[in-house]
Amino acid sequence: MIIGRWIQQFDQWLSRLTTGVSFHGGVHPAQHKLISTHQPIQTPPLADKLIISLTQHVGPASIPLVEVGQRVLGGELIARCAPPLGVPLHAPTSGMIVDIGDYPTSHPSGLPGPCIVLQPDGLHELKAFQPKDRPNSVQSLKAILLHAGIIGMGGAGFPSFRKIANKAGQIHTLIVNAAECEPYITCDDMLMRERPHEIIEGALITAHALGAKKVIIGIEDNKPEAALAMRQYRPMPESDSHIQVEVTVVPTIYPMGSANQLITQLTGNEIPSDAHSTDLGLVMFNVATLAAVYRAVIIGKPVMSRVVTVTGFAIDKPCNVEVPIGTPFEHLVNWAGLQTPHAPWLMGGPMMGTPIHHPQTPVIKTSNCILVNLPEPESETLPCIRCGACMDACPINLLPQQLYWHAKAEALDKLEALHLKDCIECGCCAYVCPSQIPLVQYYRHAKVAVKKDKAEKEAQQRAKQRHEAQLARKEQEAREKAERLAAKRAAMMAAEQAEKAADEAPKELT
Amino acid sequence: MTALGLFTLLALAFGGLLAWASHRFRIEGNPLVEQIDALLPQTQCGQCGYPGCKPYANAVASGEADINLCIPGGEVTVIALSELTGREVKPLAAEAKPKQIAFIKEEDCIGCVKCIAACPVDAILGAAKFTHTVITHECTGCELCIPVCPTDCIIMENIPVTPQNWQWEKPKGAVGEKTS
Repeated sequence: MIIGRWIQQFDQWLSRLTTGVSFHGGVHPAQHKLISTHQPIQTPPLADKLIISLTQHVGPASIPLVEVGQRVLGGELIARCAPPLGVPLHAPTSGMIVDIGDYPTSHPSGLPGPCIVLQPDGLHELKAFQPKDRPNSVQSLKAILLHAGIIGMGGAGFPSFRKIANKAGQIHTLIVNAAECEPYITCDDMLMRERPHEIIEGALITAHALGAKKVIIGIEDNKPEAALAMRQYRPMPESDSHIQVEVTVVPTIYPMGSANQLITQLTGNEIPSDAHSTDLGLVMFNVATLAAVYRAVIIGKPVMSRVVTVTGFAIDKPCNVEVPIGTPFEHLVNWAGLQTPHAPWLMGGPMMGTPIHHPQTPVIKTSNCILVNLPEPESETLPCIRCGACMDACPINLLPQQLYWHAKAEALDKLEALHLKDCIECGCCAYVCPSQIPLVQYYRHAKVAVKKDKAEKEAQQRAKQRHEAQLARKEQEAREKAERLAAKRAAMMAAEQAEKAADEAPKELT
Repeated sequence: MTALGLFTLLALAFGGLLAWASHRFRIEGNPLVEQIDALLPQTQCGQCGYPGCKPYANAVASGEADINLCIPGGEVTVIALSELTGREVKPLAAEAKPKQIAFIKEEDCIGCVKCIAACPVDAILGAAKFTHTVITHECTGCELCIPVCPTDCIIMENIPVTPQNWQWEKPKGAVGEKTS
C-alpha cells in the first residue's frame, strides 16, 4: 500500500517536472479547434419551433406551468422545479406554446422525453427583468441560482445551487473551469474572448457570497487569446476587491477539463474517491455557468440561451452560435451548412460526445457542441494483447484492462472492488488501445448493470419483507378469527347451560 | 494414577465448557435456509412447486428439492446455489424469460378482489366493486394473479425502457473471439 503510494507520488512528481502535468495519464488528441474560432459568436435566425426539454438537469423532470395555446414572454417561467432537487425552466423567447409531450432528447439512448414546444412569434418580447443586489450570503446566492435555472453548463448538468456548501466560509477557493480540453469545442474559448466581464464578475459575485478569498481561472495553453482577455479585464468598482483573481495557464492535455484533474493541477490536491471538492474548501464552476450567474444578478435574466459550437469537417462554416434553449440541432447544422448528408452527428466532442439519433434533437442548457465529421471507416476490434497502454493513459489511476475483463464477464462485485464508479468515461483508454477495443462502452454498460443489480437486490429485499408481513398478517387474522370463534362458542355454551339451569330450576321449585 | 485423575478432570472441565458454549451460542433454525433464501429472487411465484421462496429454501436445505427449480432466478441462481450447497450444477428445469410486470385492464376489471388475495407481496390495490390497479414497482412478476381473474383482465407486460433504466449496449467481442 505505502510503497504503491510512494510510486504514485514519484510518478506525479516526475510528470510535473517533465510535462508540467500534475495528474497521471492523459492523452493528446488532435485539437482541430482553430476551424471554429475564425468568426465571433454568431446569432442565427430563430428556429420555427423550440423544443424545451423538461429533463435538462440531473434530477427529477421539471413540472410544466403553461398550457397549450398560451402565449408566453421571453424569460417567463414555464416549468417549475420538482422539489427539492430540480431547477425551473424559462421561455427562451416570446411565442405560443403549441404542445407539451414526448419528443426526442439528447439523451444517449435517443429515447423521447417530456418537452414543451414553443412556436416563437419573432417579436422576442421579454418580461421586465429585475436586477438583483449582489448576494451577501450563501442562502441568497442559492436562491438566485435556483430561480434563474442555472445548472452546470460545462456538460454535467448538475443544479448549481446543490453544488455549493451551506455555510459561508466553508469554501476558500473558487476554481473556474476554463480548460475546455475536448478537441473541436471552442464555446468557452469564444465566451472568454468576447465576454470576460461576465465570467469574472460572475466568479466574483459567487466567491463573495461564498466567503471565498481566491478565484483561480485555469485555462489551457492552447487558448492564448482567451487568457489575455481574462487577464486584461479589470473588475467593476462595486465588486469585492478583497478577492484575489488569478489566471493560471495550464498545459494542454486531455482530460484537463475534468473537475478533479483540474483541481489536482491547480492546487496539488487529489480528491479522494469518497470525498467532494467542497470537503477540501474548493468549488468549481464552468465559465458559461458563471456568465449565467452574472446575467442572473446584474440583469436579472434567467438561463434562456447558450453558446454552442457547430463544427466538424462536414460543416461548411464552422463557428460558435448563441441560440435559445430548445433550438433543434438540424436548424443549426443547416444554417452552418452541411456538406455530407450521411455524416454522423455527435453532441459534445469526439472523446466523450454521444450520438444524436434524431435531427430534431434540441439544444439544452448543457449542449456545448454539435460535431459533424465524415464517417470513419469501420475498424475491427482485435483481442486484448495486455500491453497496458490503457493503464498508463488512465487519469484516475484505475486498471482499465482489469475492468475490461470483468465488464466483459459481468463480474459486478469485482468491478466495484476495482472502483468502476470512479471512472469518468473520458475515453483515454480506448483512444490509446492498439486493439481498438471500445473500452468506455464496456464500462458504461457495466455501470448500468451494477446500478440495476443494486436496484434488483433492494426490490428483492422489499418483496421479501412484504411477503413476510403478509404471512404474519394472515396468521394473525386466522388466530384472531379462531379466538373470536372460541369466545363465541364459549359464550353460546354458557348461555345454553344457563338456559338449561334456568329450565331445571323452576322444576325443582315446583 | 495422578495422570488418570488429571485427565479425567480436564475432560470433565472441557466437556462442561463445550456444553455451556453450545447452550450459550445456540443458533435458532438452520442457518443454511437463510443463506439459500437470500440467493432466491423473492418473487414468491411458486413455480418451483413450493408455496414461496422460504419453503423452497427449506426444501433445498433438507435435500428434498433440486437446486434448478427456481425459474425467475435463472442460471445465475442455480450456479449460486450450487456453490453454496456443493451440489452439481444442472440446467434450469424450464426456460427462463425476462421479468415482466402485471397490468390490469381497468375497463374489464369488476372489482372481485380475487387477485388481491392471490398477490404474495400485496402489490395490487383496490377494494370490492372498485377498479383494482397494480403498484408497478412492487410487482415481482409472479403471475399468480392471472389464473384467478374471472374476466381475464390482467396481462403481463414488458418493463418499458426509459432514459432512467436504459443501458448502453454491450460491445461485440473482438475478431475471432467467442461471444456469449
